[in-house]
Amino acid sequence: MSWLHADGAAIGTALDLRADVVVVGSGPAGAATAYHLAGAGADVVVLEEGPLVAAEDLPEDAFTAMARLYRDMGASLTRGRSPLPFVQGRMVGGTSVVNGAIFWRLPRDVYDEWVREDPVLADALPWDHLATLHDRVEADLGIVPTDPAIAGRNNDLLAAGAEALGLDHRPIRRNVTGCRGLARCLQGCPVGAKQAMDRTYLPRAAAKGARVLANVRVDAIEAGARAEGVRATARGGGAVRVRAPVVVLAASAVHTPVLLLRSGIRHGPVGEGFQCHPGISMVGRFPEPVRMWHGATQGHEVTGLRKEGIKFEALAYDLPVLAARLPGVGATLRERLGDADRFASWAAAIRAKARGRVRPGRRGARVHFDLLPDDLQRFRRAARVMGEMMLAAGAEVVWPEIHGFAEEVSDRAVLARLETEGPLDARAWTAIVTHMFGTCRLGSDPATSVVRPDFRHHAVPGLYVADSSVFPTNTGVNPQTSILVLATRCAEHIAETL
Amino acid sequence: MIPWTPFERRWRDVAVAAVLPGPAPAPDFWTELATAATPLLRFGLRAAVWLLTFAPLLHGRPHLLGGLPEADREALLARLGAHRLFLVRQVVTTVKLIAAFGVFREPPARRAITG
Repeated sequence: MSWLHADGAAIGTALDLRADVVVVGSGPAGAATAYHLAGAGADVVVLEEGPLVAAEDLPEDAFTAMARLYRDMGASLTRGRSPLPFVQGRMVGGTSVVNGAIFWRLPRDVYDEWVREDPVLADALPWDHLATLHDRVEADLGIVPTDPAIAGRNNDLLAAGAEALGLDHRPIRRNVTGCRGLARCLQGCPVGAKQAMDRTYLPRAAAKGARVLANVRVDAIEAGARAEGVRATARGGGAVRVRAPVVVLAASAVHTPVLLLRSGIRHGPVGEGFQCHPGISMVGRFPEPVRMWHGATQGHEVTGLRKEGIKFEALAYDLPVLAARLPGVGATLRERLGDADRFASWAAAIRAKARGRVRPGRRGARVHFDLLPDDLQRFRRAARVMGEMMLAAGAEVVWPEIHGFAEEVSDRAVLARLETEGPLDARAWTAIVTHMFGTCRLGSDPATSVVRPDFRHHAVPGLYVADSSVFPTNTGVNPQTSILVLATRCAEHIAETL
Repeated sequence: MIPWTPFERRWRDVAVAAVLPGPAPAPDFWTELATAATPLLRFGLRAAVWLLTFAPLLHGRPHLLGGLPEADREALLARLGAHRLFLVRQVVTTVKLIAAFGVFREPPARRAITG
């Protein structure tokens, strides 16, 4: 694509670049930082480990998408009592290309928690200013509630179930323009309707002079008395060096701390305090066609239990994931799949209290994480309410997919037992980790934080962290907007120093 | 990466067909999987195929998985899928997910479900 400065697949010899700022990672944090700094007149280089993929080349099926666009084929696993998969995009635009395009402002109650714990944050991140940045991001990315005309039955049924239970619910506000309801968000939008970073902030940054390089993996930060740049390897084998007095890390809450540790920058609790939103899902069979592959992948959400740390979303799976998610094998599984056009699929994400840690591994990162009993109690409640919503919306049967519990349920009384008698062993649940935070947290005390309230590293001048590593806690809601806003705030602080 | 031996490929195809009967994954699926999967996933799949292949012997049946009648094969896999040991359940889950990835990568198999 014309705005890409270079593709590392074609870089076979040494490449030496100079810039004012080098940004590591091109997901929401890296893209927003690059866009705002390029707009402020800085000479910016963005390095992305994955490829740039045109919308028309995005695959239809989940396997090909995961093999080509996701880190570790979507099979990165946490370590602990119950290994949980965590999924991250690995391409230009990062996870924004393969997520559900969900927008949520940072909730005020979460912000207040942060400020209560570290009052200095109120000055560094003034609420009114964050609100202005939220407005700007929403205008930049065209945030709109899901259009009922394309939402599809999977989303409509979630609305009906929530309504029946008296829970607050609403169409999800998404960064899409001209969504056709193809239910392919998680494989990347093939018609370019999703306003992901590869269609918005990155090309806009490039138009302002930023140089974006794909297929270039950063190996180390170069720093002496201050940040001096990064060393990287292009996919084509060439050694890439970018010399810059400002280095911005935006490689995710998993890979940013790994890069710091690999570079010998170990000050503060780097890699500690890992938090996330573990999620469970449920499939139900309805008497009438649902056809979840027609509609928005994630077009409706239930917010009524957010303050309890539980949030529900419709989630249309591609066929392989749906098949793997159903109970049974062999002819039984095949027979069930014959009814697939009558299935609805929803998910619940919880605001887990558990904290883990991230360390460098032989191949990337090692994430150590174990759910707490409190978190499992939330799973119990989430599963019960999700099943009850499905039955209330008219499902004939739901499949909770919880080991040791009923394989299929059509009676609300059975679901009610789940909340009190459901398993408190994490290994009984089919769960996945999304939205990761907190491994280089922002704060005024170098003993408990890695970067200052203005996103500068406590010990290395010129080094900044802009991604969700800096979040003091998880947020309980989809973090893409908060990441964009905090990265923009980081860029504002950097711009003041240039 | 050690390539699958011919007998391992046969065992793998039997296990996949037992978990998700119907059209088999295309041969190039296995090539792409080998390239994209992490070493842990590749090892896990291989170990799962071995375990499922020899599971009948562990349950007192003098056959490999492919030698069992279809109904017995399904019953055995269902039992392993609900096993009290997490690791054993994961064996079935792994093969099921990989089988579904392979089968539903192909447009005709997708259209047969989605219309």
